Amino acid sequence: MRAQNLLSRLRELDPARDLDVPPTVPAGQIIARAEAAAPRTGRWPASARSAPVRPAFRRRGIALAAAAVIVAGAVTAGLLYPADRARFPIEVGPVVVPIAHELAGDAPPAAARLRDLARHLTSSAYDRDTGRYAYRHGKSWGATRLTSAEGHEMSFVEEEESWTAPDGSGRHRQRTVAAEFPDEASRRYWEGEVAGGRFPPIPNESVLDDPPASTSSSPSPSPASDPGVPVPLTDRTLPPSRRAELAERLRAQYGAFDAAKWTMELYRAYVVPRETRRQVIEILATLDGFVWRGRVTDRAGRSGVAISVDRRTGDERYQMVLVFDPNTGELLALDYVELAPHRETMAYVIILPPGRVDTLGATPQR
Amino acid sequence: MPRKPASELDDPPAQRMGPDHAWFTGLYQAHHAAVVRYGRRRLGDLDAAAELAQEVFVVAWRRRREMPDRSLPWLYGVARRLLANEWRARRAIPELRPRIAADDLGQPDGEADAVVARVDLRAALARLSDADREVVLLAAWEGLGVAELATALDCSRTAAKVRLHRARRRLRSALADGRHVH
Repeated sequence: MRAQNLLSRLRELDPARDLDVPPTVPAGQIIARAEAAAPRTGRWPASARSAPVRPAFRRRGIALAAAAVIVAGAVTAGLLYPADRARFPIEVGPVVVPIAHELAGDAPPAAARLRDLARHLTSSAYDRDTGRYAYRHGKSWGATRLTSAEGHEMSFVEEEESWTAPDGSGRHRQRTVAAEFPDEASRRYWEGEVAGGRFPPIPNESVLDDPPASTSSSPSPSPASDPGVPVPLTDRTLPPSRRAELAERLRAQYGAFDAAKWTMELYRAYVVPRETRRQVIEILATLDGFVWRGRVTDRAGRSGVAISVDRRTGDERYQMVLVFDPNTGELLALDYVELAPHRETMAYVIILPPGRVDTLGATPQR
Repeated sequence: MPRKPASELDDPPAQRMGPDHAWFTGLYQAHHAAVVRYGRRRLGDLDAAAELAQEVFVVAWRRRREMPDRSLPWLYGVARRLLANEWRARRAIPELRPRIAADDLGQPDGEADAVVARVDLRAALARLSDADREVVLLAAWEGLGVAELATALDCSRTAAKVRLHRARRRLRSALADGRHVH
């Protein structure tokens, strides 16, 4: 039977060829479910330990009927701070403002300065590290939000630590450390609610262990059992080394705004070695849209240099800001800012010093 | 009962939630139907397939930093591994048998040969190993090319090409053997 004929015949057997099922669960609930980590009782084991989303979502709405609260990041009873309404379990932080730039107004294109940075990169302390696990550490704000019926928002600062071995196994630990706010009105509102004990359960800490990536394959015979089929060797602690693969990983073909986000994701996923840092900056230098913002101080108090890129969506304008170490070229932070119609920080990510360690759960000693 | 699609009012404006949320919402809306089809083809039950799709996207959010630009084959790979974990947990032999629509078997006489041919092909598919069947169906039903197969199977392109070639050869052989028996 010719290949095309076989393919046609197989397609005739397809029981789902005319099926088109749109999502019935909003994306936000999927995200919330992924962020939670209570023991599961659902059908599918292993990979995502979480409680069913929809019932938790609705229960929360009923419990806080006096002020209908829409929770963008769901929490589950198993991993919440105790429901002690007398005490808010985390710090009530400040209003988050965009970080100040040396060059706040019209700024020059960043390409030349980025290339100069790439040419003069120095080694980071972690470039000399050895160890089985790649350790990453960071904080982020803006992913999990509470919004009152009147539109007052509270979002959480979450601290993340990840350990990844070459086979993809490892651990991911996430803690909620503080509440921060996008504007003063929201801060005043939630301060009052917190003082009155009117706040929902707050996410506490989740620890998820990942199995080796190679053992998550199908139960069918592995490629190694088929003679002549090479077993791929992949060190999952290393980022792409070839420039073309790195550019694809950064989504460079979609432009500077997307590349900014995926640069941040690269640094969250890997301990980025010096040569890769250099290539990342060189790739960013080739993209139209980045402007040079000069010297900045990031939210962890570190001196850096920044570039930014804007994107318009109708009447709305958004900005990504990347902050780099001026010597090593490491990414220190990303800010995601709404510029219009209102100027406020939507989200931020802080990349804290990474390294390599030999023990799961350990941190680099410097 | 028709399924009510998720209302935009149920979800905070994606753009305001930050770049990750906006990106993920787009990914979810673009590929949800394809992942449900993947599950439906292997599970034979739409509710189970929809539940599988939710789990796939939960994993996708958690592992979003690993996701390649061409994300659908990667999502299929996640679905494969979730199904494999489920079957290992049950210690059951997975049934990846293609299901012929009931009305296929009630064709007028003139269509009898076509029905027999479909039954032959179904039987031949059932005789393949799980791995061979999955490779063939990823190519035929999910429409994956070699590069995409490599992503879904988490192997090299060369390995994917070889596996597809061998699986198709084994399918043709099984089909021929079945006809000889008839």
